[in-house]
Amino acid sequence: MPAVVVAAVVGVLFFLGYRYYSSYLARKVYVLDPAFVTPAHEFNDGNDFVPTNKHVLFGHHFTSVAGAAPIVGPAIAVFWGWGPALTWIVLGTIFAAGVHDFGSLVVSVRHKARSIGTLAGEVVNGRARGLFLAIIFFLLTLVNAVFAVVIGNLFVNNPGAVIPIVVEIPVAMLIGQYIYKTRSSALIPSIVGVLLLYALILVGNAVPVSLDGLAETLGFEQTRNLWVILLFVYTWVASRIPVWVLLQPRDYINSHQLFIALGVISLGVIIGLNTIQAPLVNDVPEGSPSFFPFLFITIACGAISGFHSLVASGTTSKQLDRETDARYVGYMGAVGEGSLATGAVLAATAGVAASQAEWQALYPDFATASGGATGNFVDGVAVFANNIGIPLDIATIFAAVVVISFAATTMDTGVRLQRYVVQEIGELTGIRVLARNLSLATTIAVVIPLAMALLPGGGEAGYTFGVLWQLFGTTNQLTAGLALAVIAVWVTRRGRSPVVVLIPLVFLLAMTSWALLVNLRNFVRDDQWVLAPLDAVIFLLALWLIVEAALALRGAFRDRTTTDAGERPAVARDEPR
Amino acid sequence: MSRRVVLVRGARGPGGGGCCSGDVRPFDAGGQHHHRTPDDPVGAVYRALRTGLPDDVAIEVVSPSNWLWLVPALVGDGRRRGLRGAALRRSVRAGLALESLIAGGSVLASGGLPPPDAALAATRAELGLP
Repeated sequence: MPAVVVAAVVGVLFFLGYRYYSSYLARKVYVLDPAFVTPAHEFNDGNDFVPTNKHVLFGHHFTSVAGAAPIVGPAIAVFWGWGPALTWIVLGTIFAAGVHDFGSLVVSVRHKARSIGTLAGEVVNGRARGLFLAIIFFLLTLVNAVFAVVIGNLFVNNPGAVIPIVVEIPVAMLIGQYIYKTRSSALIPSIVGVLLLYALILVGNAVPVSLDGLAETLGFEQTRNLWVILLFVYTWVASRIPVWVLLQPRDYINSHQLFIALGVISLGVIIGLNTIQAPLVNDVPEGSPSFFPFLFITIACGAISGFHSLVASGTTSKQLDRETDARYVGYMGAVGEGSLATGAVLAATAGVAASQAEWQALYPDFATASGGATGNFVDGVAVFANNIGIPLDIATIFAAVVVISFAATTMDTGVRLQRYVVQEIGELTGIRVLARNLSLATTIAVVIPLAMALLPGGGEAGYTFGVLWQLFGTTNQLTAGLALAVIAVWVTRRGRSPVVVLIPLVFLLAMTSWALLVNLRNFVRDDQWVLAPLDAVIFLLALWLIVEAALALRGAFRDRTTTDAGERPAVARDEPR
Repeated sequence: MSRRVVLVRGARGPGGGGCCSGDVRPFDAGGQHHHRTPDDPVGAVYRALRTGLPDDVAIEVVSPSNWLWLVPALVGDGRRRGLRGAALRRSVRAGLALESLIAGGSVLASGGLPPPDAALAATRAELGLP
């Protein structure tokens, strides 16, 4: 099957989803009101709350939600065949992510643009805030662990990417200083930064950097582990310095790279007419994880991601000009993420291999598939880039640089956020030193994911990474489940049918719980006494979420029944303006 | 299209993009988890403009990193003013700077904003408002 045909079909389906399903959601479920005074107008302060043109806001929202996560999951999940992976991406984007991202934005806008953690406490109940905090803690731990492993693997397999990525740090800092001091345009310096980064690819190609010798001298079994330690030392420092020094200018560079990468994939697929070499449904070896339920947690970002609810209810909802813009900004953000995931599937099925046998050699079993997934994406994108005239060795480093840049920014922000969560936990539990000592909070934010990333097991192929990724997907889906529960309760209280919200909610919770139980049994059987308790805790969080969601929904239905009897208006517990 | 004023933000706010690390604010009040961003001079100018300009004047506050929207908007507004070639390029470059004020395609401030009252007066004069 030509990749370009698949891309076109997915594009048409996404268009239909936006045109018809999001329209249905806007009219019947969320009932958008063009006359509603949004928080951006009501609390208009020119800082956080600013009515913003919907195209401007979409740019903010999309660049905040798109990154490395929708690349890694799909590149692993094609192990089950490109059919199941793409089907989940398309259906998940249209019927789950769209509902979730759009709904989070609308509910937040209807509640003074409050964030999802606060909304969980208000709309569901007070305990949900604690549940949310716990889920976020695990999510960030796993985010930081998996991206450290992703970057470590890419550095080991693409030593030519080391120099560009390392030099990107001082380049970004210089750009930040220049912009901050001169207050001049960020566009030209950041474009210069991207060009310099890509020029350094030539240097990296000529002078590849390998830490194999150093790792061996220091007694590391895998060079990757040395990289992981160095990465966490770096993020400890990076997360402590002001955002404008490094993070913000690197974000400027990354925003260019996001569009460059999407452009390269699209053009490469069109020009190269690469054919998908992976089977539609892969006949996986006996003993492999089954795609029910593991596919649905392996691809989290790209089908549905709970993190989007944090962005939608965090900064996007404070800038929404008209409530009706929520459809475009929220739903299209999900479609953009799904498009990136589709690109990842095509790279890992059509770009990476020229024949079915070649592809089978890359995906012989789940351990190899999960360990090599990001590398396969890099090699696939390199082939697409080669289609448009870039030499293959340079194109490979280019693709690695793009993924590492995204992943490094994710780690940097992830550790910073985790420090906030640790401080929040310190405040909640009354451990004041945790709340006030930034170095201690940052060290805790770094040490736990570092330990997870260094977990032994499964050898070089990276079985542990596959498991960590699944746990990450699970916690991300739990975050989405909590947001969907909030949306479902809100929709129900307003006297509308919550079915379109409940279907993805129930599906996600079922897949998550099922996967956690299967993994728990395997961990206990294999004496994995670090992963087993972690899995058990996440499973307990899932159960807690199910109970809270059920209780909140029962209460919402009871309210509605009461309203039907004419005792109280359905909107009484909302916060209309 | 009705008249448009564009304000480009300064270097502020939480940064960080990419799935699972975006500009997130999980909680709103209390705790260290609440990201309270420092006031941006753009906010004060924005409030003065919003109060002092008619409702039909659109005021867009844009991040300097959002070049995908900003460049076409500045080019379009500049061309409508009759700018071409080098003059248009200079205008766009000036408009892209941090803390810029652009009214009807004319860059009134670049790389630093005047006090709110002065910004309002300049904008009203540029838009031909009494």
